[in-house]
Amino acid sequence: MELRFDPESTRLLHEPARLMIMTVLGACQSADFVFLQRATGLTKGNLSSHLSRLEEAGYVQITKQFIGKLPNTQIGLTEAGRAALEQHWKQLDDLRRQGDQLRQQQAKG
Amino acid sequence: MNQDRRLEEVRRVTAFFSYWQGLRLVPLGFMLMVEGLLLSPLFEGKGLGVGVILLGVVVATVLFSCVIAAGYYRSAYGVVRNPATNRRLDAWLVLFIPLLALLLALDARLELPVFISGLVWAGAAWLYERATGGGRRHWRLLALALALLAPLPLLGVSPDWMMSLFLGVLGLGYAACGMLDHLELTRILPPVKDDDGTAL
Repeated sequence: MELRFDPESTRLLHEPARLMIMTVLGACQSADFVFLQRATGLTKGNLSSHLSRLEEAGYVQITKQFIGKLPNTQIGLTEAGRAALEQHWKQLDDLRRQGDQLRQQQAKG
Repeated sequence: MNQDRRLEEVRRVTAFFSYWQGLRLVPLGFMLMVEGLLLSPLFEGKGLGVGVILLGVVVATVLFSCVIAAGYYRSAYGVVRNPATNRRLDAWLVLFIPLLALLLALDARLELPVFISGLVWAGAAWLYERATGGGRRHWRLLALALALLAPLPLLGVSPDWMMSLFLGVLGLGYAACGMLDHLELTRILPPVKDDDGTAL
């Protein structure tokens, strides 16, 4: 997949809570609402709102199901979500590297 | 806390969630301790029946406790699906545990001057910690404690006591590491107060 810098995507993922959600989902196939709430520390309302934004962007897929008799909401990254997360980390790494190089140049000169 | 560090911790727990559910290990630790006690010279001649009944009760309790613990984690911490990682690690465990048990049986039979199982199980404990995300140093302490058992036969500890001692240390280690894994999990994924003030 061809990736390029997308300011909208960067803005969407740069928000700490959404980055945490995406990081959690990037480390597994899917996680449920309860786990995401523990991982992010968000209230149900806030988490739902962040998930809606990520779903609108096509980054996450939300599946409602039953485990036994209990309702369970599973959330997983879409392919576009995985690619956007990878791209986000790559951009941050590049920025970090450039910052290091600049510091080294300043120290030399 | 540094956000990168927090992200890395949560990523690690998510990737290996089922291996951080420490309370599932605690009953197994107690079972090993009881087994160590039953195999010790203290129980020699006390009648096999009592030992077998006690072991049966302990095994049943362990199985029951594991089911309860799994249910607790599902309801309090949620569900993470990670089939590829779990399959890979479980395959290693299925392969390694019988080999480690076989080595233990050989140690008991051959009565070597060095207790080889101590060293090998130490390596296994260290590898387990590394393979399940790292960051839990108590597993390295268990590895160290198991490795320190290796030279004990040279210091005059009898083979009868060696096996009991090993199972006791391993069981105590599993129970302690399980508790500490749980505390670490709770530190990284603390309970959340919801909109209405109730804790999750």
